[in-house]
Amino acid sequence: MDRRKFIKFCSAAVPAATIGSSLGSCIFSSTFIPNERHKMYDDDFIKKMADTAMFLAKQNGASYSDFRLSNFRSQFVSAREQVIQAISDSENFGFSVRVIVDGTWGFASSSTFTEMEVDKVTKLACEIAKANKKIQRSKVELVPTASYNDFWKTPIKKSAFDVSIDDKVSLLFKVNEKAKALGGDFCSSFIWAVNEWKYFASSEGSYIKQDLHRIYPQFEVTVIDKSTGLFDSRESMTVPIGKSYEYVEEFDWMGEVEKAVEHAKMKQKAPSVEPGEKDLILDPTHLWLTIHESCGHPTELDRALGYEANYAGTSFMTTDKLGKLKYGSDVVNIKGDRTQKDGLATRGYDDDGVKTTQWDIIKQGVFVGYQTTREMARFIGESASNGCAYADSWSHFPIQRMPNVSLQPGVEKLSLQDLISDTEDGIYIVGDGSWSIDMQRYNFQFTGQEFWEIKNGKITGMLRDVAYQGNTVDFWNSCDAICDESEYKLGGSFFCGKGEPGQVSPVSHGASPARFRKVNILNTSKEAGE
Amino acid sequence: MILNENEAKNLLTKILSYSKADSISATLTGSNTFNLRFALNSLTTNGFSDGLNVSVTSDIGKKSGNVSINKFDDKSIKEAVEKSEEIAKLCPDNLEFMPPLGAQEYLKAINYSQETEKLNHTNRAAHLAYIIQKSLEKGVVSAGYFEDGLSFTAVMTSNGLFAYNKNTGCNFSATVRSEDGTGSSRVEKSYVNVKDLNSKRLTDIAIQKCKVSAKPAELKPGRYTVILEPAAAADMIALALNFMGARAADEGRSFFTKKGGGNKIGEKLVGDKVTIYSDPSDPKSPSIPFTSEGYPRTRIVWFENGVLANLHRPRFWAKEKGAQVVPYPSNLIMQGGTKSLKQLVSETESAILITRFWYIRTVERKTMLLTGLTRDGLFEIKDGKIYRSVKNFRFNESPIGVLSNLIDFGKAEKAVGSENETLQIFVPPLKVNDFNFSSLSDAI
Repeated sequence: MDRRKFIKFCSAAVPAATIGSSLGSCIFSSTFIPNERHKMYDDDFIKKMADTAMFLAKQNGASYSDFRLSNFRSQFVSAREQVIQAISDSENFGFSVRVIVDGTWGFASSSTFTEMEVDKVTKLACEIAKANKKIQRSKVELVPTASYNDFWKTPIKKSAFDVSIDDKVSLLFKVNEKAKALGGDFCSSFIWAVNEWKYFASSEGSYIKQDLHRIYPQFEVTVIDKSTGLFDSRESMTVPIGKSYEYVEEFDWMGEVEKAVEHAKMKQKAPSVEPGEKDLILDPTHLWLTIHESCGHPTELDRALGYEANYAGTSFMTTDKLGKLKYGSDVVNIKGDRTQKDGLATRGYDDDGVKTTQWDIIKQGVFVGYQTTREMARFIGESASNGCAYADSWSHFPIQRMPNVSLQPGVEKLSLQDLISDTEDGIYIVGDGSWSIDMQRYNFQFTGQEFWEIKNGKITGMLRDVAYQGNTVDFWNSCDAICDESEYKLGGSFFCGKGEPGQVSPVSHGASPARFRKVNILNTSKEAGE
Repeated sequence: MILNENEAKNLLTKILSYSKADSISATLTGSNTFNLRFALNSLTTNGFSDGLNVSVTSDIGKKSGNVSINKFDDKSIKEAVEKSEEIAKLCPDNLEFMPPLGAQEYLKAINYSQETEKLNHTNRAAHLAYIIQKSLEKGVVSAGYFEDGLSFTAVMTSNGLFAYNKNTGCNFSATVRSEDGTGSSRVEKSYVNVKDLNSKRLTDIAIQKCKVSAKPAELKPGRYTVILEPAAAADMIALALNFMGARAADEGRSFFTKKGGGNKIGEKLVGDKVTIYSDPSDPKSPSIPFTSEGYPRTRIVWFENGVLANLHRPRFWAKEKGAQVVPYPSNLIMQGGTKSLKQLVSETESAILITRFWYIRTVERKTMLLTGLTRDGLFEIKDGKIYRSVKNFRFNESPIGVLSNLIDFGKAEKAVGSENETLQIFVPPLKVNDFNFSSLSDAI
């Protein structure tokens, strides 16, 4: 996951769209809706352009071609205390043509959508493929897929784009005001809504339209002890999710603000952790990221094969370990799923035009499945892709991206309270903090938002300065209990980073709280030499 | 799509002419970029992208509205301006409102090269052909990326500002791994002028270094003297800049907060040898001489002989504090010495040589503690020589710690770190005491 992209987005958005407000003077009365550019073209025109591209590609030597037209709409509203930091409503519209000429990919794209430009871009894609043939040593071959003529839409209840900016700003101001009233020194908050509209057509006969929605609201409270200069923050336990504004409306914002301020203050006064081995209970609000980094990424087939060696890295889960590696204990079952309810990576079809599905990645602790695309699947002898191709823009080549990868809940009844009661000396970690893992996904270090000490089956108070380190296989083999489905929650990210040029993809990870035995705990203050 | 200065001026003038607001500003950006990616000694993907975008901000009193579009017929432009005004009217007053800038003077830009603009498919493929061929000959497995692009930025405001910059860039990176998977090395360089890019030399270095890096030995985690190669040093100084905001420091939530209030400007925070500055017109690291709102970027010293000289401070906060505006820079230059990396190594009795870092994240903002890993070549130095390749480590260390424990440095050069995508960086290799390696990693 790459939060730099998020920070970059925010810092870029602020100067361009800074709109201020004073408390109580929020007087927006309408929703600003920019032209949704894909709606300016009717289906017949779009199909005509797609067919033109594919016809020209064939004429120019392509054995395969696809055409992708997309519009990414993004609305970001953020506030700091009672000052609006950004209201940005942008659209990014364009198309691309991808071809295979004599076993070599060619790809070109443009933001100008005219017949003349489709002609130019298609020919350029073929030209690029031909020019690069001499540095292509192994021919690109795609595993087969059925062709589809379909429309798929995220099953949302209330589009965030139909809600006025007024309502969004009011909510953010209320959150920030409440945090200040309860003793938070600073509070920032935002609501980020995305609509990804895309049209895919291939020379194999597919014409697929998709209308994908996702939303990410969050706040962060900071408390400062002016006498010591110490400060601590706590983010809301909201998650980015494959829903729309209904998620914002269903969330208990005021309850969460109360908890956040109280816990940030507690964290500031909490004792510093004693480093050493302890049992960990990881809440789904934290565990999603551990799953993402230590299971999601290493089971990407392109990475395992070496396609990402120059950037994201390779994987210790090499193809010779498929079906053999005891990745985790017997209770560990992890699935890849592009159909999961509310998942950020959920959709009808991937960007190869493959219908999405779900499959086992880890079964009873054994590594049994990779994430694949049409290009990669054949390298492990698969005759079909499991639908993991994705491009984050019309201007980017689709590459293998992570589906929703989720830890399956325990089959036996086990609540979080039961698990805590069963733990003698441990820490219960809530929320994600800092994260880092090596380029083959062995060694990781994570922090969180809250660290609760467990002694003899009871939570005894909060700790601070906690980080844990582990090695993926040892860690997952130390997992001895997973709560049942009543405790299951989704976490996720808008910004999983991969590829060159860099691309981000949205992805969710579900889990129930799980316990890991004898994990190495670090004290971050001591690590800083304090 | 690339517009020349006149075309950009005409288009922006047209955009501004539709305004009925008190003031308006518009930033126009366009680019043409090509890329080639390879892995397993063969081309994998490639691409061409052509884009043009405008961001329009209208102000009515202290209210502002912003719209971005990438469609440029008269009707769309007019609608975009009207919509930005519509948003502004609906907004409450901005307590931190700053009016658009008036006319400014800029340093002469030197970040464009005709040679880079004229690259063609054959030139591009040649950079990859050499490394693919050499890798096959030497029995190693290479992966990498080549990108070149031409882009422009133009800004105009109704208060009389016009700024235009056309720039080019090219980047080559390659990771070379041994066939048995026990060795890895990496090179990356980025320049304005493709003539400065010697991908053949970089390839030869990467292949040679990969061979040396194979079958690493295991050292115990702990505090070591290290030499950071420029790519590793680049990450440390670029990440330090992220923490160096004046507002966070003044508000009490930064390492740079002074106990009792205010910030630490003027305090000696790091080693005497540390002088870091930004200057877009410095030929060592040319970059764009203005910000997206058209504010001029000039020479800014961040650290001078170890003393904190500046923190970045946007216009509103500068006004609040009665202090100078310090824009976020487009480049970072750290003063180095005259020694080559080889000489620095030869003068070192015992240390670890770090090629680069990977996956660096902030652990604690108040101490600037970072965690991350070494990657693509970690070597033990003994008695002035590379003694052996060693296994990668996770580190827990802060950029302030690195700059405070600086013992010596070499000759500075253009470098690309793993965590920075926007700053052009020129930095020396750094020899640093007491670098904290926290645990071992099996990753190659």
